[in-house]
Amino acid sequence: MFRFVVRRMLWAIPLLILISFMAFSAVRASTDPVAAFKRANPRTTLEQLEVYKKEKGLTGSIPAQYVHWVKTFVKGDLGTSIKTNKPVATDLKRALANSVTLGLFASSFAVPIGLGIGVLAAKKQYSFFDSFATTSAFVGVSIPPFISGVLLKLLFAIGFTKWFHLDKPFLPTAGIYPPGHVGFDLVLRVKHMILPAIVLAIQTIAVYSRLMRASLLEVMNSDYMRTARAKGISETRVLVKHALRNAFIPVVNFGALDIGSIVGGLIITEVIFEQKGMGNFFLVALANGDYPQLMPYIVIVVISVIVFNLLADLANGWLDPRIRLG
Amino acid sequence: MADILTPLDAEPELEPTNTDAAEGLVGSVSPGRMAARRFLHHRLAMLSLLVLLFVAVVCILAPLLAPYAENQRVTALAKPLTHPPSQSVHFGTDSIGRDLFSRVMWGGRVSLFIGIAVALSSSIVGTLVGAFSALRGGFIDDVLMRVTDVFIALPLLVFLPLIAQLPTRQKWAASLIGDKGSVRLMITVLSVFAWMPTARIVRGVVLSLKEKEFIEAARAMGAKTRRIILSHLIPNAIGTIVVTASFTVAGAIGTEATLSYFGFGIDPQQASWGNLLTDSKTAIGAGYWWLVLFPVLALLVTVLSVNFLGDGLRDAFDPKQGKS
Repeated sequence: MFRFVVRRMLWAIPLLILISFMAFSAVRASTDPVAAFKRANPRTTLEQLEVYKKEKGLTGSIPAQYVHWVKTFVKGDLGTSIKTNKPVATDLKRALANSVTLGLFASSFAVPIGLGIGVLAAKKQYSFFDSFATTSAFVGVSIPPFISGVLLKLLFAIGFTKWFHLDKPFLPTAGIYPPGHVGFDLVLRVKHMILPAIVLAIQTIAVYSRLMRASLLEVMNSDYMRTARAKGISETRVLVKHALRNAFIPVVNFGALDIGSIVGGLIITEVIFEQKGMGNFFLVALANGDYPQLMPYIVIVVISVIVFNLLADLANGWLDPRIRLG
Repeated sequence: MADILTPLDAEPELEPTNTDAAEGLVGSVSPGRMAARRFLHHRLAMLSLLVLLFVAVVCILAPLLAPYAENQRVTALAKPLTHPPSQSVHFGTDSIGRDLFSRVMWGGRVSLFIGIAVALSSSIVGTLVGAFSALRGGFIDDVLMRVTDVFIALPLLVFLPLIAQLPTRQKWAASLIGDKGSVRLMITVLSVFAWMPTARIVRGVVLSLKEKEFIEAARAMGAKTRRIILSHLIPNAIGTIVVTASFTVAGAIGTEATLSYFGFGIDPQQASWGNLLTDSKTAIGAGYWWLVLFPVLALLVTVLSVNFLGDGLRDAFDPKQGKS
């Protein structure tokens, strides 16, 4: 097991270097920090510009600049934003907290619901419930999330208020707090997360129920299930002890990757419902050409993807001893 | 949270489609014929096919059928520009007075073209990478599969906008992958992030086929590699490739709309279903519901039909996999 872990971890390092270099080249090729600096400070002189370029390591070839960037990044220095001139780390932390809160809130009810539907559908294969669940899950996966987001927002922001003659929307459709609110308020916070969480939940429930159903069906048809039943174990025990453990392997694998993707922000949902999370952070930074904000964002996203990939592999190896040999 | 461009069921069970064995000795009907028969009996898939054909024909014939040109204003300047649906303008008019019915048709041309082009190019690239990887094996296989892993690990919605921005600053990029906002750029960018599932699936299929007795028999009879690829591997893998491609069509149409909605897509002058939705963004507050409803309907009906079609194709090509 130890060797397995080490081998997987060793793969992660070149992967991280490669992807971060690709990201660096892509960011430097598609945005211009010098122009962004000039936009933010219109009265800057040529000398100041030169000093700025030197200080930030913006001279020389792209690989050299990359090395310079890695050196400062490894020291924990994320730099300051070109646009706002504030330290990137504070904004990034706040954005990350918002994204993770929203993602975990949505997953906390959507994943159990999805898994439950999947198990029930597999237990009653070809029943009415099964075909209903399978078809709606298929529809749910097919709908691009931004469409369900826009429709939901339209319905709550305008539709309901108009039809029921309310003076304000039934549920808030933007932001994480009402404008001007200071401090922490659990009820308000949750209220603001309901609509975006529903958009996320549509996808999550659909994906997890399909995955769970397919995986459980495959396990249920295997020989050791017949053996377990032949031994006279009760059906519940067969399901819980024998089937679910194995059926969970692909689900855990997918779940790890899915949670990892929350770190990158739920870009679409966040933008539609103005959630000020990581996705929003990225799009604003991109629009401003703010490369000191873009790079840490991308690297953190990539690290989380790789780390959760690794966790998925490890979980697989732990649940399924056959994989460890590979 | 799931990737939007990844086709549904990116990696189905890697069972080759040896339908003869599964179906028993049903006279002398070829596997292809049997797949076709199963597909024709799949009611939902047939319905989807009809819907799709209708949508496609209407959109392709937009120059003949559309009442107005793509950017033609139909309302007089003095009046309010935006009209609700009526006898003369079936879907109403948009924020600057263009006929929405015509624009949905014009936009469909672009969206469908992008979907099909991305599916085609990513299938070709994916098939080549997957087949090459499986046939060569060893070091080349390792490297190609790691490259595939890298592309899967890249967060799609982060890199797509980045690449879509590229041509504004880099002249070489503009001539290579198309100008900013062009359909060509959109197709290239989406294809770059769509070939991996095909590559993995084809690799799996080829790896398992490679060891089959009939390949060995063909080799023993002196068949060249070229012949084995052309007359044994491709016909046996084509079903899986087509199924994956159909899911890619739906994914690409959805992603184009998403990117355009966020301002990284097609030039706003040009109608595409994503751009029509972008126009509706500002109109929501004013209560112009038709600006949202009709483009969304067009997009949803198409994406759902393509996916149901793909589902039907999968059942047809691989009956053993069962319904999922």
